[in-house]
Amino acid sequence: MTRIFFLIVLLAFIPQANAKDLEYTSLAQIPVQHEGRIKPLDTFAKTMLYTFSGKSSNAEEWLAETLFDPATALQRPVFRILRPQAFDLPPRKSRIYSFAEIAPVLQIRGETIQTLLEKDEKDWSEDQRELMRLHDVYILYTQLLRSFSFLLPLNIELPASLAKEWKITEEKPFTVSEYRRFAQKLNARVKAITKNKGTDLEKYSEEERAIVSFAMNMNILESAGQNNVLFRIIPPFKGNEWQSPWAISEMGGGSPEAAIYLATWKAMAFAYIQRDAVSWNEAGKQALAQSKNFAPPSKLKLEYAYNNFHPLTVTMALYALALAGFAAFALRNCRNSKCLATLALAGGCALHAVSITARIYILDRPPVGTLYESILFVAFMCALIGLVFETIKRDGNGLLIGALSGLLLLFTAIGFGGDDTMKMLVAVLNTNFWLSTHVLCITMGYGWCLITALLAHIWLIQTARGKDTDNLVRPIKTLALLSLLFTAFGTLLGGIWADQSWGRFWGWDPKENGALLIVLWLIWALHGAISGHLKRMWFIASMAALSVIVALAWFGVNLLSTGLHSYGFITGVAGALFAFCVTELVLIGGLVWKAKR
Amino acid sequence: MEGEAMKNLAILCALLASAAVYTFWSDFQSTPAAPSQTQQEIKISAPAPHFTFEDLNGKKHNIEDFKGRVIILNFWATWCAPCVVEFPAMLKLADIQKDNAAFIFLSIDDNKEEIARFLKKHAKSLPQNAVVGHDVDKTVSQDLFQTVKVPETYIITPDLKLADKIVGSDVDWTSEAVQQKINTLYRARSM
Repeated sequence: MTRIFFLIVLLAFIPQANAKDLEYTSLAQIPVQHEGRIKPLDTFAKTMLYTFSGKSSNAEEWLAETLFDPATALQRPVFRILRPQAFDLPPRKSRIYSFAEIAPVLQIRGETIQTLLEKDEKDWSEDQRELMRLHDVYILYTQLLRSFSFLLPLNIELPASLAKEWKITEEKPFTVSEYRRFAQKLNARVKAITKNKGTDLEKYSEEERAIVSFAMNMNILESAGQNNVLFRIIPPFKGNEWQSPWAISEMGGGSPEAAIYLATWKAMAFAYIQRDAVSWNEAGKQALAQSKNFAPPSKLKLEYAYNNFHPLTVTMALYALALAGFAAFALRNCRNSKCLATLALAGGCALHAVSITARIYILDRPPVGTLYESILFVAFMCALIGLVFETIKRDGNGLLIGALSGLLLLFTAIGFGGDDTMKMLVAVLNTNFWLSTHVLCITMGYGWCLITALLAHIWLIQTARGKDTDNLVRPIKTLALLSLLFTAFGTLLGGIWADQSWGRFWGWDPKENGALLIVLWLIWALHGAISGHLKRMWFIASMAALSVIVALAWFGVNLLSTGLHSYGFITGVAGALFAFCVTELVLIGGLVWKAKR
Repeated sequence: MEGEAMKNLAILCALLASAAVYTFWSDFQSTPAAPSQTQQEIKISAPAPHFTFEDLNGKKHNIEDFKGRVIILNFWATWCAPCVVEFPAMLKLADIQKDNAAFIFLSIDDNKEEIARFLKKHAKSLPQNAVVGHDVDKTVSQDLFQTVKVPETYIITPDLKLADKIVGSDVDWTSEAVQQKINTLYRARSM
């Protein structure tokens, strides 16, 4: 709670600004090191704002205000609170509250927070969990609010004698950074005062009292900035660890190059405060130009474009268009619609490929490293297979399975994106070799499996409707064999990787069991079909049920939160997964029942 | 049909094999953390800012005056205990490296008298290649080199480029490693 006091005091000293009509493009592309990766400020701003409010629109404007005008930022509603009533906050449709509104909430509950910190998280109630989440984001926001205060002009009155001695005028704003120049002198003055007159303020002259009070305020300001390492915009003189403005002064991370860079940042801050759009834009461009020495601008530019063009959203729209085109073709037998659907699916695939390639270039790693990325990749695989299938068969089924799977999977990916879709990988995954062999092989296997399952669904639906479906059996078998090839090979590669990383080939880990489950299911069904023990209907039904098997192996095992694949653990999707599995089984069962009649 | 299936399988296997070969090759070819290497190169080649300072006798010096030798630029203060501790060792190094290096001890003390008093007590005579200066209002240390806390020492190449920076006093200034570094930088100077 002392920190809160420090922050409020600190921010009270910083003048307010009003900054509309400023251009944020340059600011958005300036590099920052955050969570182990150098990224454009655009990504940083979006990630941060998403963490606080669950949204990321106008993130650069919000970041500029938070950095350069924290006094105004305190009043801006950014904290999304799921249970406002639990904290006696006024009900609001948006459920978004400002820092100034939630600070008292946390202050009152200081003791509760301390008690909860000592308790096991598992024992927290829902309200307590929300309180602790609020506490965490509050601390993060506090760091961000303070991150640039080192260089912001202070709205603080200097004792006349000090202002004269230090040559501080109205034209030359006083900052904490400027104060550092005179800190020793001020300490000497305070020592002299206390030596002559003791610690009783009553004995001090007006000027002496002002000096001592000023020294205390400056100490508070400096304490508030300690350990503020969130906003790492300054590259180090040595090594890879970037520095925040406060850390530069605290830990000696400065350099002549960084001094010039930070001076430009200071110019940006002053221009923002004065609403001087010309100076702001100029300083922003200058900072961006200087930053090109620190990080490859091509990657930053590409990431900025990726963030703002939303290629995957456009891809989804194209898949939806392809689906609509297919529907028109299926219902009215309109050839033009089919042509449009094919073009839309091809366009979607191309844009999807561009998106994945862009991510590979930006992150400097193979396309799949996280659960989110696996969904993107499988979606691409499915759409591409659908497109190829359509090119070969030209019966519309390729359009349906490609567009539908691509769209549904990309839609699912949104839920797994979180605040940052380009997260750094945990150490065990940081190997480009295994990411591009085992992981790609397994995820391609998932793609083949899902396409097989979708085609099997089409077979069941058509058969249930009494239509001729013989032409689909062979493709289903071929796709099942390809699924087996990729999943089996991927599982074997996974074993070799596990042997290298963990010292054993196989450990009956849930993720390993999931992969094995797919392989066994395919082997069982294919052998059953080949040997004649499994009738065609049941073989196709088992292929349709492959979607359930893949869902369990892909997402289900991550819910168990046990085993060595801890980097993939997820929560909160058990209900959706259960609903999907039940729906699928009921649908398949229903179709089989109807088809058999 | 059988032949076509075999052909497709062969193509698939060839694709997988070439992907595996390429991955192996690129994995062994790539050197990790390449950006940091680039950064390091940029840092080493970054020029030192130009500045002037006054020594205790009021004589003006320019960093250009020290060109041709490795420059050890030490920011210090008489009230800073680690600075006081490392000062004698740096003077000793200056004595050893009198041909290859020049030492600039730039104090951020408030007034010259304190520096003079300190030198009278701890270093009655300075090596010829060492000069003690006063950074009035910290215009060199803080504004140009972003040094807020002392001691901080920059090692500058004979052609005035920044080669290294040492924060704090946790360095054995008379060690072989430091001397070797100075000698290497001196030998590498552009003739």
